[in-house]
Amino acid sequence: MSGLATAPAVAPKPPSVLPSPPADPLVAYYRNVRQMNLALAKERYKQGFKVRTQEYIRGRGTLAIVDEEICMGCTHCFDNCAFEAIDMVDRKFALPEYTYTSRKAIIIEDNCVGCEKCAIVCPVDAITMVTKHGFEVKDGRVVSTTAPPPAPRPAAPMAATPRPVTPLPAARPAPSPTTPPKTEAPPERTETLTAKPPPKPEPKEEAETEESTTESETREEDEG
Amino acid sequence: MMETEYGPGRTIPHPVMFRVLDSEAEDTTIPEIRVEHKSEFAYYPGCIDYYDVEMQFSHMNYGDTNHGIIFDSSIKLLRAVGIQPMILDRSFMKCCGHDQLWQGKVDVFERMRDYNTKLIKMLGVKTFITSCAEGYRTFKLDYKLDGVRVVHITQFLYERGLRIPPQPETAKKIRVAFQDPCRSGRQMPLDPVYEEPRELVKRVDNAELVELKTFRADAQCCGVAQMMYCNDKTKGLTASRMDEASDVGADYLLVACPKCLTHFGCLHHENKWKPGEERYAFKVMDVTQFLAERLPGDYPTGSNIDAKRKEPPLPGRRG
Repeated sequence: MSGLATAPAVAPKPPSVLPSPPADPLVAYYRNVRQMNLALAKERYKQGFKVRTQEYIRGRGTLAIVDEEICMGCTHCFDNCAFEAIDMVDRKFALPEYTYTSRKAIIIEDNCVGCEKCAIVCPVDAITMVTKHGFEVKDGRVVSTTAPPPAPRPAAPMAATPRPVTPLPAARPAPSPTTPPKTEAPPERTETLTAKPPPKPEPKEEAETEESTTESETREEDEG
Repeated sequence: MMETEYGPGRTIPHPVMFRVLDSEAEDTTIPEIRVEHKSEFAYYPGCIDYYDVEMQFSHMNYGDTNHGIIFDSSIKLLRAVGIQPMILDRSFMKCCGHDQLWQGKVDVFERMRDYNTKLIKMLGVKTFITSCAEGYRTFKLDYKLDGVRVVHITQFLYERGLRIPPQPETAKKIRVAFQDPCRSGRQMPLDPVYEEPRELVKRVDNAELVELKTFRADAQCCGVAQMMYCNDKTKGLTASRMDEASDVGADYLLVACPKCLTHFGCLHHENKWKPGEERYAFKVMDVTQFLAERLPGDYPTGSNIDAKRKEPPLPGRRG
């Protein structure tokens, strides 16, 4: 009687999980233990997974790499990548007297933006985050090793341009009195400003290639 | 059946699992323990819930591999032989420490062992029943449980004389193969479990026991012991073992270790969605589940499967 009396008392709690309340109190006991254990496992597992989000560097200048020996092709990273930077490929493997294919993840480096999502979800730690060329990790942050990052660089030429410009106004007065040479002056400026650094290498390369071609031609001619 | 481009995942996230299990050893204070049905027979379910959570997390379980049913089946079988066991559940017990020991984390293992030993002594357990091959070996050899008898559940059911009622005549003949676990078989120097599960399977009317190409002490591994890792070599071993089962024409591949179930179930599941893969047409399940399904009555508890996960995810990105 006591068992029957307790069963309805217990019943209001389980119905949320289970459709039919058990008549046998012992069954109810085992059922509760079962569900409680499962809830406990889920809770513990969530906490364990949370730790992973703190483990990897992220951001511009980082890249994910896959260790193919560890990767087991679970497609977890593939499913979670928001930038289509991961693809799955089938690799063939051979044991003695037995061949089979195994799936592997590969990173498409052009698309990888260095969000660490794939590394977090990878169940076997096959994906690690590395810095790209020209970046390094300092104090837990990814910084560029090339001296001033790209932002100041455009400023430096801007600062440099006024200096050559200043002599030009001085040069201007001479041609300025004559109205027709005005059209000729701007091309002169551009030449003076830009011609010095960039055009030099170009002619060199051209010259080198020309030389090489001419050399080969001459050699051929000599051989001929 | 849905066809997916890459299949619905296939492996087990062990680093997360190892962190979860290792973290159990950090706090060894004994919590308040409520055991409603005290008994000298104790059943320890092990880590089966954790395997289930992981398999669902890693997209490889959509209702066909169920570790939780091992718990239910064991309770059902034990009650069928007249025993109402005390459950040593994971709210106060810890992992047995098998994986930690075999991975070399001896200090973690020793903390778990001391804690578990203290609790088992405290609760006055006389017979310690486990349904896990690794737990059987660990509690029997690596723990020092003097005065406590550690048995695998198949041994216990065999010596208690489990009777399987005659099956209905409409039930068709089935061929059943058994995978010998390494830990309770060839790596068990005393009292290996070879004969008991086979004898129990023979008690089922319509089941014919067939042996795989390698069996008993020579049995080939399921591929992964102690979830060390899952790579191409281990996957190849698992595949070749499952090929043996399909060669002998088995309808059921029975295992006695939850980890064998995990790895066979994983590969079975991976290939199930591939068109033209008839060679894995057999079912993979634990020996306790196979026996409990042949008994009348329902399981004591509900299913462990997430109701939302019945189908594999759509191919490609889920966002």
